[in-house]
Amino acid sequence: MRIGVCIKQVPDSDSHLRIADSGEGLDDSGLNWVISSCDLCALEEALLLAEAAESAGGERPELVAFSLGPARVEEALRKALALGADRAVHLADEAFLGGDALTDGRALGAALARERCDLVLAGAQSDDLGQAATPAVVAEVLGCPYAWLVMAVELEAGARSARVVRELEGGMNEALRLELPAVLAIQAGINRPRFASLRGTLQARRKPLDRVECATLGVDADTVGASGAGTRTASVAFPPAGAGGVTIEGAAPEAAARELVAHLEREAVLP
Amino acid sequence: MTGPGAGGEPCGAGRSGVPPVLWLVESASGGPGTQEVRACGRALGGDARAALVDEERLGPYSPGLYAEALRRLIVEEGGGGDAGTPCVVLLPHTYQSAEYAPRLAARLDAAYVPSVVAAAVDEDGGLRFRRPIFQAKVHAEVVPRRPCVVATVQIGSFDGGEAPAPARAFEVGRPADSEEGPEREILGREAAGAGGVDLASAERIVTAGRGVGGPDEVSVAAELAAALDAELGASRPVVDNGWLPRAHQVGSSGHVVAPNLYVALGVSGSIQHLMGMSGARVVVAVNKDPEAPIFSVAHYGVVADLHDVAPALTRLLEARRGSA
Ligand SMILES: Cc1cc2nc3c(=O)[nH]c(=O)nc-3n(C[C@H](O)[C@H](O)[C@H](O)COP(=O)(O)OP(=O)(O)OC[C@H]3O[C@@H](n4cnc5c(N)ncnc54)[C@H](O)[C@@H]3O)c2cc1C
Ligand SMILES: Nc1ncnc2c1ncn2[C@@H]1O[C@H](COP(=O)(O)O)[C@@H](O)[C@H]1O
Repeated sequence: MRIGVCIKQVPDSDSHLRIADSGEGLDDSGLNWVISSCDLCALEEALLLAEAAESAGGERPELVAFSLGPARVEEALRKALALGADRAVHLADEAFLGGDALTDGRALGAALARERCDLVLAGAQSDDLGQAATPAVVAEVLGCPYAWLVMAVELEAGARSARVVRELEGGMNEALRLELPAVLAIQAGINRPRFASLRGTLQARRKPLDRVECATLGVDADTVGASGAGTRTASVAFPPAGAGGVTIEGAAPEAAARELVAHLEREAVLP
Repeated sequence: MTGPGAGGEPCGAGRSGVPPVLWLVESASGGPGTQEVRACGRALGGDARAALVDEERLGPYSPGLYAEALRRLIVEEGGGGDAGTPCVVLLPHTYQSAEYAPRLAARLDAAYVPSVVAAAVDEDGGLRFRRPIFQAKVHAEVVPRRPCVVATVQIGSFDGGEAPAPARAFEVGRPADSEEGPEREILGREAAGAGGVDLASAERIVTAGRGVGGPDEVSVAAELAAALDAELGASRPVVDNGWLPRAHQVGSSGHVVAPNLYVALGVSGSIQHLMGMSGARVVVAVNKDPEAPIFSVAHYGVVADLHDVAPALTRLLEARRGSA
């Protein structure tokens, strides 16, 4: 059995974001790049499934991490290898860059199809673009069942199907059964991702990391990346601050607390 | 239809001069987001029609089946796909339609624009959508480069009065010859987390966000909650990290609350969090980042380290109580 995991590299959520001079995107310089939080959960879930299969006396599934992006994403793939993935595939063609969920899903889908994965785990929503759509497009390319916001995964029946729990609105869950191959978009909170060990980090250096291009995957360069994208970001901006609210800034903690309590007394919301 | 537009770009919806056909996807049983979808449709103008999704008619929900059923209706009734008529399909960004909408977009070869919070038509007729990125810290203006657009509309956006139902409604039928098998089997539904925390009827709530820093630091929020006689809430990462049980979670996948006073400590203000607490009467936010989106809904915003301000507040409130 082979499990593919989609890993997106994103700016750390504590990064100080700056808008690029063009106004069409963010300034990439000086950002700290990490694996998107749901993707860490997806990788952890793949590791747990592999460990469970092994401890049940079966064969350990092979885990392959996939990432589309510029050269820096190989750092994220090395991290995935350090955490326990067996191999990594970097969708490295320049033509893949600057796309949207449809083009990225198309390219990732082609790479996953080439590796014939039995199960694909991805994040429910990336921390940066938050499209919540790339894994659905992967499922579309692979022509296989899909579930979004997955909060539990169990392989059944000799890994021919999976029993998953999917989150619904308002604190409800739904239990589903999907035939494999399937694509599952993993929601944060399904597990607590482990940290890489020193041993894992050393081993990661020797694990295979392949680079694939449009030609390797047999995809037409015009259908992916910026040239194939169905959308273009015209501009980005910080949302207007303060809907007429009172801002307390620069005061010493005690002074800020006194000012706030005075306001809240006037609002009659204190006990 | 996809000839080059301005700047040598493929022609986006609306830019060809033909106003797009507007499909508003509504749940026949009146699900969440109907108003938002109609209001977004109104902002785009044009010939709007409802596509009624009815589980009785379509059979149990599965993403591929619903995407296919909608695709057929749109292609058959003019607009979209092979017919080439420009169209815009708006769905609510619910846990159901946001799951299958990307598959619909892929099948219509449409542009996909998720979780839209504003929409407009430019002077030249081109469409423009606003969507939050970076967990709502930034807004992006997105323009489509395809004749067809599939967009999901964020729940709770587009406030501004009732928007009328479209004059025409079509029922989405089950594709008889569909090759879509039962993509997945529904085994049952259950509540996600144990109860025990009365957030829904709480008069005051103090919420710990990821900014509190760790499991041991949640106490700064708990102590302020005690001093305020408030319930303790949590943002999702606080729960996901195991710092507080799920029953404390406020937001779209947790509790929807409407207290008199809501104090958010180290909460950035993501859309999913705001969906749970925007009904609060007075919102106080303490955050060290002056650009945190929580400040856009806060009546009182304190830009500071919560580990300085929250204990100071607790001390002051305790002293105030002692002297009362
Ligand atoms: C389908 C779905 C459903 C979701 N449902 C929910 C939900 O129900 N509820 C929910 O909350 N989220 C939900 N989320 C997650 C949501 O998108 C955000 O990730 C989450 O709300 C962020 O939580 P946060 O504000 O605590 O953390 P962050 O976004 O990381 O914000 C932390 C904040 O703390 C500030 N900070 C850090 N240190 C300090 C300090 N010392 N003093 C002051 N401020 C500090 C930072 O400036 C930052 O603004 C959902 C996501 C998805 C995809
Ligand atoms: N460039 C990428 N490389 C690898 N995986 C990706 C990429 N973009 C998106 N994904 C996967 O799709 C998920 C959802 O992303 P999004 O559709 O942007 O919200 C992510 O959490 C990843 O698992």
